[in-house]
Amino acid sequence: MKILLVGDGSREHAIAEALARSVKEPRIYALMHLINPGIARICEQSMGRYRRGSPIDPVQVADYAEELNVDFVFVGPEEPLFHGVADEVERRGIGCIGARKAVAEVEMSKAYMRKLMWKYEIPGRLRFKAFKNIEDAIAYISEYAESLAIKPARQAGGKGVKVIADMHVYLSREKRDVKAKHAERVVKEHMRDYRDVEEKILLEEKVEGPEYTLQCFSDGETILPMPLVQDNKHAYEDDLGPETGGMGSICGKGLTLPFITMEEYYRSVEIVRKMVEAVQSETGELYRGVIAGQMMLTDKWGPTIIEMYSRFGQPEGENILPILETDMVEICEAILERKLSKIKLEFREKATVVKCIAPLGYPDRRDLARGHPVAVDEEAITRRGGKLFWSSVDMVDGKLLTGGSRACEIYAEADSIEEASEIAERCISYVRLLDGWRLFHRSDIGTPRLLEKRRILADLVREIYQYRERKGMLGRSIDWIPGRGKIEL
Amino acid sequence: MSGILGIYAFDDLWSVSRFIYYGLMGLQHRGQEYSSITTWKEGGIYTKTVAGLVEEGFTETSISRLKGYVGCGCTATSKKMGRPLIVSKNGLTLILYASGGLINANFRGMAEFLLSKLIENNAEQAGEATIEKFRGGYSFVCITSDGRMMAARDKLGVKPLCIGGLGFDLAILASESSALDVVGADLSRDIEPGEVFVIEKFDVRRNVVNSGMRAYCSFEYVYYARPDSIINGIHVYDVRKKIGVFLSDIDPVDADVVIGVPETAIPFAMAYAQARGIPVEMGFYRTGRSMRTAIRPTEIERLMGVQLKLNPIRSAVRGRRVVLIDDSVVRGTTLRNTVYILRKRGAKEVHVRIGSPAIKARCPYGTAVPPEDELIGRALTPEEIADVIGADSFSYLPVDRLVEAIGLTKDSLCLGCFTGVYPDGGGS
Amino acid sequence: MKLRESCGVFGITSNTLNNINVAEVIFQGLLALQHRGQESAGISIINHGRIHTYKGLGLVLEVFDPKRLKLLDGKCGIGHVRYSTRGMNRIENSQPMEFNSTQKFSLCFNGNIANYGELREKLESEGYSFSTTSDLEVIGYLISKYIKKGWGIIDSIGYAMQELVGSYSALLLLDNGALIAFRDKYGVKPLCIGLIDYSNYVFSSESSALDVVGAKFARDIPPGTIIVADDELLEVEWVKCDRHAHCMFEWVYFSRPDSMIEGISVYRVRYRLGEKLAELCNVDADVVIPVPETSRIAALGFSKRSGVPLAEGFGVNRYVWRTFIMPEDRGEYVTMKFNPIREVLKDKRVIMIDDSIVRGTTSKVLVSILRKAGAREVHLAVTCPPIVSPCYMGVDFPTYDELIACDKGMEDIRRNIGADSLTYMTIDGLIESIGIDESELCLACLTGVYPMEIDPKILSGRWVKE
Repeated sequence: MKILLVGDGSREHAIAEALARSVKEPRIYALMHLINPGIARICEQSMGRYRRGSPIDPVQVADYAEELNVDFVFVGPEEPLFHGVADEVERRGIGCIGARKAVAEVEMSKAYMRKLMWKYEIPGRLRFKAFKNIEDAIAYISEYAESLAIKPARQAGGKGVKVIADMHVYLSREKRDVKAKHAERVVKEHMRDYRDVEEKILLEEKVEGPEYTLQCFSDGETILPMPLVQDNKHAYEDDLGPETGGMGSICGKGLTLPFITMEEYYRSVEIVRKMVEAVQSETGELYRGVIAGQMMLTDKWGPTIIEMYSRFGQPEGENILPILETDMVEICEAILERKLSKIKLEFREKATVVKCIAPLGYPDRRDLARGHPVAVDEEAITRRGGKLFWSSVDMVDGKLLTGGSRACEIYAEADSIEEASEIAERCISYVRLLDGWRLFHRSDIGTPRLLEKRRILADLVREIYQYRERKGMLGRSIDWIPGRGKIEL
Repeated sequence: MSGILGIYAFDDLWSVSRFIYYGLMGLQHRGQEYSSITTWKEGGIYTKTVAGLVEEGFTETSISRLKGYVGCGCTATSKKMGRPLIVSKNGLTLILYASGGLINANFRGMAEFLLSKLIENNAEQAGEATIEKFRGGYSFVCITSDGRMMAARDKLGVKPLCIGGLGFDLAILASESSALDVVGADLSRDIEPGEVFVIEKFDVRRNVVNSGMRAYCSFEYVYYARPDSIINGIHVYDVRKKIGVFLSDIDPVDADVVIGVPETAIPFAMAYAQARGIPVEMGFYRTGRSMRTAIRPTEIERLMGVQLKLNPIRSAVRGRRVVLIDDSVVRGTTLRNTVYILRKRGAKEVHVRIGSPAIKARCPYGTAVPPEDELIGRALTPEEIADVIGADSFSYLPVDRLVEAIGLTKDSLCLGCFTGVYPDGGGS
Repeated sequence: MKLRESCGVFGITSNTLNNINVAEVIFQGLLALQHRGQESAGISIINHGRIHTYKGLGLVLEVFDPKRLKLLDGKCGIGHVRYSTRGMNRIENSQPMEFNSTQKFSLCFNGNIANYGELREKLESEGYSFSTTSDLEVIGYLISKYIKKGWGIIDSIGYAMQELVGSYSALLLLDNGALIAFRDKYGVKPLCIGLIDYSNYVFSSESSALDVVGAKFARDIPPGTIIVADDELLEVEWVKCDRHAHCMFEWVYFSRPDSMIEGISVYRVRYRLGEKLAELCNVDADVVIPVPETSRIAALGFSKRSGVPLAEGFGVNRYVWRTFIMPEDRGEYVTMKFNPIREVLKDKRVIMIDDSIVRGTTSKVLVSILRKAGAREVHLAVTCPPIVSPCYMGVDFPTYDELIACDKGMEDIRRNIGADSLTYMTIDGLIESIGIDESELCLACLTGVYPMEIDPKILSGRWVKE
């Protein structure tokens, strides 16, 4: 059996490992932009191969799949999906785990996702406004002093999102100023290279609460949910610093996190299921692959959609895939044959922690973070009970250079999140840069203090949304404007 | 006494001066004589120091001219603490605001030392060396002309300092969490005793010089801090209410009404009244802005402060037996005036209860306690004080009960001004 | 001929000082800077939004009297003492000068603009007509130009600084009451800032003038920096330049010994220079004498290190040069100013310490004065290494062909001067004595290597002043 894996991040490293564990002993092949040494090794060990190429080029991927005569293709990242890799691969008669372009729009266009939620009245929808040009957006921003999330209207690698609470009248001017400047930057920088969505900027009402990610397999009929994972977006410890793609994530024993109830878990699954149904009935295409809800427990709705992923989260996927007991290849085959309902997902009863290690410069100056030689004592990490996932690194002439994003991740599992965190922490020092450039990570992820903080926040939010629910107010926004009267959205 | 604040924006779209301006208002209770703001952006430092309150001294123009996405500031009781220490060497400039006191040097010396270390080492090493070398009870925040922000707290943690964040955009360091609340930031944690906290363009780092000892200033809980602040993880309001409860056990007398001296003693009075089942009344109305008597600089102003400030409400006290609760007694003059005015407004009995132990010794950590021979609590017994201030009875909160109210162990608190025993000897 | 410093500047803002006359403070400051320029003095003061300037030829004490100072009352002002490096000693060339743009300002500076000619031509072609021959007018018009284009004052100064080549430590008084100091990015000429109380800023060429008015020295103004001080706040903006070029002559000769220049005591540098010179000078002598005034401290260091007793060999007539304004015959001038003390010199082997040799004429006359007074041997030791190149940064050196050390060997110079031996300080010795890195100093007159690019047009031809 042969599988072609598309992508080169830590998520694909974890996927490759899960596929390689299969009793079917598949040969793993990979198409990567940067050569990830972890994936490369798995390819070699499974008697497969890898190639440097452009994972977002549908023809290149399909050609390679044909050339290798693989059984199916597994697409890891979102960008190849947006470019139609799944469509092209399937057109050539090869099975593909990964959403087609039309359904992947649920991630690619944030405005599309929101419109869908309102059209199909899916719970957890937020008020939003999408703008095609910067002037309208700025005019809106300067008129309304609101707490806002300003986002590029297209998924732009998780970059360009700014959330500004505007609750203090005396600081409102400063905040409006920054909001307008940021909106301008979104258009000029983050959206510059994208022509595939009409809208440029998305303004969304700001919500607050603990975030979590729910990842599911989908074959178009059945969705199989996995345990919840929580990522940490702040770059620095104590939840300080700029937003990143994620500095590390935790996953508790069992299906849910210590601060999310089972009821909230099931509601979240329901929301994701409705999203899949909505996008399928909208496009008339089946959603086959992985879908994930990047969610938040909010006072407005309880479980609320912040963004949708058309793939595993990164680093959230790395929490789940190592403890997946069900044969990954079997799951893939079930997806392709639309027999996912026959699969029972099983996970080892472990809490897992992933900690990302990034070179200085990440996330705002990736040019500075790029090109530093990395050395890792993998043996020592294994000895200490951890596991290494390579992320943004490139193998050039046998040397490993950082790629500008998080270079690698330490995964650890134990009976509790706290223990797993300690194990991961002990492994961090075995990753070094050889040129003296510094690496950073967040030692507080998975510590009792941070977990307690999340629990307090969740309890607070839960009380409010439950009160709203009791009053029949869940998800409703009611306002009163002088002269216009009561307005409900 | 002073309150310090530092704000670092991770995104240079921000202009932090207005955040500092409002943040300092949240620290105004720590010093009202001088206010200062300094900001930084690539290629520029902007600084302004004013006499008086933040609100009075800074104009719209000055705030808009204080450019930059990194900045710090302070509110202080003295000119010495109220203006930034600016030192430069080898093309590097350091601007430092400190709070507290040093016992083996002055803050300018400390700023110079820190700067010279910054030239040779990385910021956390420089900060560590500084904390190791300079003894006392202090915290400081500084910015350098190459755009770094540093903050640190002495090894014993005498003076408070905490850190919080505003979304993904700002990191805020402040003497008290009240400053964070004012600008809408979330408190992350207290800076640990001996901790150096460094924010650079792409990095946040910390180092802790661990002395294994703690000596949190107990007076913060009794008097200095705002009741809505959280100091060393402890809610100040909770401590003040507990003090009120404990006071109600001490020398109980029959009384008709409990009143607290605004602002600090109000929570004491409320808890006292609840515990004893005696009604609490709003005994005074304040004239003029809130001025804090123990941190006014001169005796004259102190007297003026009280007379201008507190006017007893006649019908709340006339013909009644009054329990008057205050936070502390230094010289006793303020209290004597207050009791006298209450009697003149018709109070039948006045029993004075103090929410802290007798102040008997100097403070080497920057609190302007008068010379020891001017401390009434050192010179006289409670009975004698009652006679001097014209009260029917007078009692303090015993030291042990204060410790209990704060909820920390005795050896993790500095009780020097009550006991004369200082955590590190207190210098000479 | 001796070297002359171009100028001294002094300024103060008083936000919280009541009952002081700012003009009087500036007057005191200028007195303390008198050694930096004796040709003219001037003060500009802001009063009720208007700038008032008074200036005149002569010493500070001659230009200003108490009545005049009373009339000049205000909150904020600048002052200047001048020796002309460019522009003759005429009243219209004296500083501060007022400029009328959309905003009025008064400006004074210390330094020299190397691309004066080029900038003047350019400005003239843009319609600016020049009424003086001073570089200051070029700076003033450049700033005016940008103000007229709508830029704020800091930006306008910043743009002007980008065009100016040379040295400038300048003070600008703006009609809205702001006092602005700016300094070239190499930091050739000194400028420091001090504080009276907590928000009254004092700017001065030398720190000694701060002491005189009771201000506390805060810091040297970093090279490339613009500082705005007004009743609102202190704004400091700077351009980064890794190569600084502090003029070594400030320590060797120009500044008062009680000043700190770039954080280094002038007195200590001169003392160390004397000590080093003693190590370099291997002659037996009976007495060490300084050429007054500058060389006294070096002579002290020399004597201490060598063990040769120190004595005063000259009586000085301080005011002689005032009687003969710019006398033509240098020899006559020197003879009138320095009178030998025969008692000290008779039959002695003398080491004379001087700060520098430029043309060599003064040294020659001094040596002959000593010999006439009965000195048996006259050895000359100089604290400044040989000056081989002209200065374009504001020191009044002659051109190449007039510098004695430019083309002559050591022996030729000695013979020319007529001394029994001649000892120069070495460049390394000078750097060591100052105690900062070579890369922070301007040693162009000693090495011919200029810190900034100098237009070859200036270097090739004779650099004409008028």
